[in-house]
Amino acid sequence: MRWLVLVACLGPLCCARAAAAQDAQVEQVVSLQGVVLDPSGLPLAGAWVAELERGLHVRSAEDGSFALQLPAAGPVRLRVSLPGYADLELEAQAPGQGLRLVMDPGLPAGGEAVGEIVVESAPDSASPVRHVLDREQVERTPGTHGDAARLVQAMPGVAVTREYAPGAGDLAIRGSGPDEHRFMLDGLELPYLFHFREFTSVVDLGLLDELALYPSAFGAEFGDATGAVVAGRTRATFPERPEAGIDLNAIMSGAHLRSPLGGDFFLSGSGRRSYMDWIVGGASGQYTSWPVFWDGFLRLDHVPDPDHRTALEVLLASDRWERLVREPEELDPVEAQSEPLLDYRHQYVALALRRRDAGSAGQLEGMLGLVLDRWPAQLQQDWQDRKEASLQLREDAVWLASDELHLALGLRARAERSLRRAETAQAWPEVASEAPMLARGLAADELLQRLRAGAYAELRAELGSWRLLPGLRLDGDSMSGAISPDPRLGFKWRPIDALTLRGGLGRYSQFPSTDALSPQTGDPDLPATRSEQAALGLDGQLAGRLRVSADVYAKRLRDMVLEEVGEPPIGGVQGRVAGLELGSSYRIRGVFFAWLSASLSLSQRQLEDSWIPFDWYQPLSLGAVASWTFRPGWSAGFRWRYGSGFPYTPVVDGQYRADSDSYDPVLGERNSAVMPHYQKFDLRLERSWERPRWRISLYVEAWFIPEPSNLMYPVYSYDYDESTFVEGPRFVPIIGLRGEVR
Amino acid sequence: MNRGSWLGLLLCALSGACYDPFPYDRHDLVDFRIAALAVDDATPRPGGQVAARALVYGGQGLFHDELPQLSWTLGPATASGPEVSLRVPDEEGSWELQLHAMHADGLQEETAVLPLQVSASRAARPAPVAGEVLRYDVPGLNADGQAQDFELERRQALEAEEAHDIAADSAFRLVAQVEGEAQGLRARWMAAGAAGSFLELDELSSDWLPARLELDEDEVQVSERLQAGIYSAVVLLMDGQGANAWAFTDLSVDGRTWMDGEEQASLLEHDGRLFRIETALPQDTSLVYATLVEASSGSGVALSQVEPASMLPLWDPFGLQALDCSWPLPDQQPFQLDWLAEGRCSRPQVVGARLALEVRVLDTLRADKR
Repeated sequence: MRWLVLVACLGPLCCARAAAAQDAQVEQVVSLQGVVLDPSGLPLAGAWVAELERGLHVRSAEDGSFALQLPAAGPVRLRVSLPGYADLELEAQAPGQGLRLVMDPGLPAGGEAVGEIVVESAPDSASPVRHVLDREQVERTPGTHGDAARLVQAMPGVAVTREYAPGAGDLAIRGSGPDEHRFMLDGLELPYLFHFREFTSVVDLGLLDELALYPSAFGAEFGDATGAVVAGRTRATFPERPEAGIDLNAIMSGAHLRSPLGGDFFLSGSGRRSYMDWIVGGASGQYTSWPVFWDGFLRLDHVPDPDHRTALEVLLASDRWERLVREPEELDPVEAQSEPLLDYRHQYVALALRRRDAGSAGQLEGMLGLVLDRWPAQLQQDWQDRKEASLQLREDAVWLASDELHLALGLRARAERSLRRAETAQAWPEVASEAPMLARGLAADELLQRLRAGAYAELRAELGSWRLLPGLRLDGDSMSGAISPDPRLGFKWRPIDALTLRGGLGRYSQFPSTDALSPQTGDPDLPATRSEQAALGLDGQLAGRLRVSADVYAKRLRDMVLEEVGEPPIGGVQGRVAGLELGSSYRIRGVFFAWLSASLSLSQRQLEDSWIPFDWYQPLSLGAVASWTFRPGWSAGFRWRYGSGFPYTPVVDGQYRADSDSYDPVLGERNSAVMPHYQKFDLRLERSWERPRWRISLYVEAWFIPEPSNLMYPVYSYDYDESTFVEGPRFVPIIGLRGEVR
Repeated sequence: MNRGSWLGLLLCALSGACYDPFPYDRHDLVDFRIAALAVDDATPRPGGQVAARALVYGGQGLFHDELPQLSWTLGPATASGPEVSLRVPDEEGSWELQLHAMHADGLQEETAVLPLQVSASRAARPAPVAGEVLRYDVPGLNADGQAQDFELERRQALEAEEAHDIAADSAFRLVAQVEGEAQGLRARWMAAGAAGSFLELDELSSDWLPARLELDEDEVQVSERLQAGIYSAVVLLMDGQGANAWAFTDLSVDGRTWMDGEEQASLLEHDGRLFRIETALPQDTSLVYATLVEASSGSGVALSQVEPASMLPLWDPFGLQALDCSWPLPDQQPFQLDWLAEGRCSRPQVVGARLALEVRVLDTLRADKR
């Protein structure tokens, strides 16, 4: 373990020296001036414009303009870089004016993955699909609570979930459920992504720069996942002056701040808290203590130049509520007193130290993180207390052998120490999502230690109109004893500018969860899940800005682990997934964007020799998103989602329990019932007042959920003989205020 | 089931959507149902015997016109009938006593389980024995109150006086009596035909209102008011382990009406049930001969040709020999209507029989007392 820590700490430092002392002596100053633009001609602020020979650099201003002071006239070689855009290198003549530097949305050279499809933009893509959202889209798309992670659900291949229902925030992507995905923020894997398990992600939008989705068949960089990877990245551009923002709505308030500290340091921070507990007085019929969440984020960056960055960050998140476990007896106070009450808490703190160094020969990026996660719950005399500490290490190196050949190497390690304790006299299936150890109904007292480590190598080769990405990944797990060599291959072929064919295939592995492998409550002999995946996509550009895409994919899954409420995990489950995704997009940055998507899929699991629909099986989903700034300061947005209903396991009967005079549900065939189809229309109108130093936006949204889409989940009578659906509202108005000072 | 979304619930509350409440809850005996199950020892010893019995509601009242089939399983041991004795498995540990009840129509079936801890070392806890259910009139409580009127502290402060009958605009307070240790026991109240509404007061007592109440957005609404008559209720006493007991009680509403003002009529009580008879009986009568006739009440029968049993014959003193019940009846004791409710005899098997019953002559109805 120690050597991993050493590599994490020392690795970035070796490159730090190579970038030292960039301040050249300026004797005879000439100026090179210009503007940095995106492909649609809009200015890009915060881009680094660097002269490579001397290492001189400057950032572009609000209007995209820059003025680089150089010691002498003559030809210079420049590199322009900005997160979310491909690095641009060119030669220019100094002094000079009116230089127009147009950047392509894409990845930095030698970045995390080569090639992507930006949802709205040009497909400079390789085999695995990579969808990217930016702040403009998130802020202006209605129906997302202003949250990027919720907008991920509008991307092709992502299942449409029912608003307000349990699992509303869960991501089901290309036939895989939430347990098969990995969620990361700045490379750090988080215990949970959403507050209240559904509402908003744990990071303030004001500090989120980009959210990328790798839906399947991704490159060798990611491992221990047979589903998708969702990777968020916080804002990393150096603020010229203090910036602050607030976001107020009916549920929560938050604020964020970014400010230079002098020298090459800047600080970013945010904090949010829900306040429904203050509004409704702390309790309701079912929630005896109203749900409360808060989060905080603080990051200190040291950026001496565009090629070198060190950051220290801390993220805290907390959720808590108390609720009656069963249907509240509102009329009868004695019964209400005796109803079981769940006290749920989930909190974590994540610390990370990261370093990035780049040079002409390549780049090295490292991260060492510590996540402390606590998950206690109390239910009458029963309780669980799950504590987990994980030390996470990432090291990524890219060697730029030539313009056409890059070699990426990486190392991953996660050392885990989990304390699992529970005292419970019975199973509580009603709290499966909030307190799984209580739902399981078994006492536990164990300390589990685990080390998962992996390494990968990926070659990124440009061969004319072809880009090839052969890679190999090797992962191992001390707890299951499994080792997974996973070969992967991605490719892109771009015969003409307007057409790109891309594809990926490979093997993917995922180790069972620590809880599933528990010797006391799980099955220590569970093997790793294996998956063979293939994806093929076609991107085309029509009439300028209109992009269209089509993707087909298939997955085979073996040795999956299925966890039933109150039952030990079932291993050896097989799965099969296939699908077709169609998409189109159109964007004029800052003015208009729209996209349409349609997905057809098949996702099944094999239980006892018969194939049944997967829990998140959605054969058809459709989506449309549009936002238009129709006059200065005014914008309107529209979003429509449609999804066929998810399957669920109905309760077909109740069994009387004589010791408690209650009923236990008797389940029918797994996933033998289907929820009604779902669709939702969201409208948004926003009025912004903008000045050079501040911006205020007032927005109203209207959400429409026509029948039967407002049916959220089934409920049952006391003896499970009768059932009905809980109905959600068909119309929800929302008003909010967002402000920024910069 | 997972109540899930806090936001959904909030929006439900704001929009009044959510879902319509189910018409019945566990207080209501309506359809075929296993209402209670009990064993004499919830921690039996390995290889011993455990006695089990069940109270199955047939769907019409606290009786059965056709008896349900009750099948019991405990490990390898099986038995059938309303009260059985099963051999306890030889192995210590957790075992499940299972009951499968099949309605006579062959279509409706219900199941029940009771976890038993088989242990050689555990001391058996005596099973509770249900005594009489005491009835009190709470004139300060009625169905027309506001939600706050039904709050626990307010109801506890109301005065109550012992009574066998209440006015339609009043409420009963029912108190379950226990023979022996009552510590740790919890009463669950049920009414045949979903009559009225129970509002529990503490572990062993509850208020009962002769109306169906629903709470809608903090407002109490009356969906149905009961007519004058007799309504039947059951109290289940639970010790939390399965050594349960139950008792029956009838609830008289507006007796002046249903007694038809007959001055010669008497009101008899037998095992908590109330019967109007058309002749006056001496106040100290404790045993009567009566002919059971079919009735539409919760107990399913009425008493006819009632006369005090002052002299008992030596042979078959209680008239039980003439009965052709499906299951054996205890010897040497008068007939009990509990046997009808528990399914030892069907109603047709007892209708027309002339039997001895232990009774109490109630001196007053509510009307007389006021």
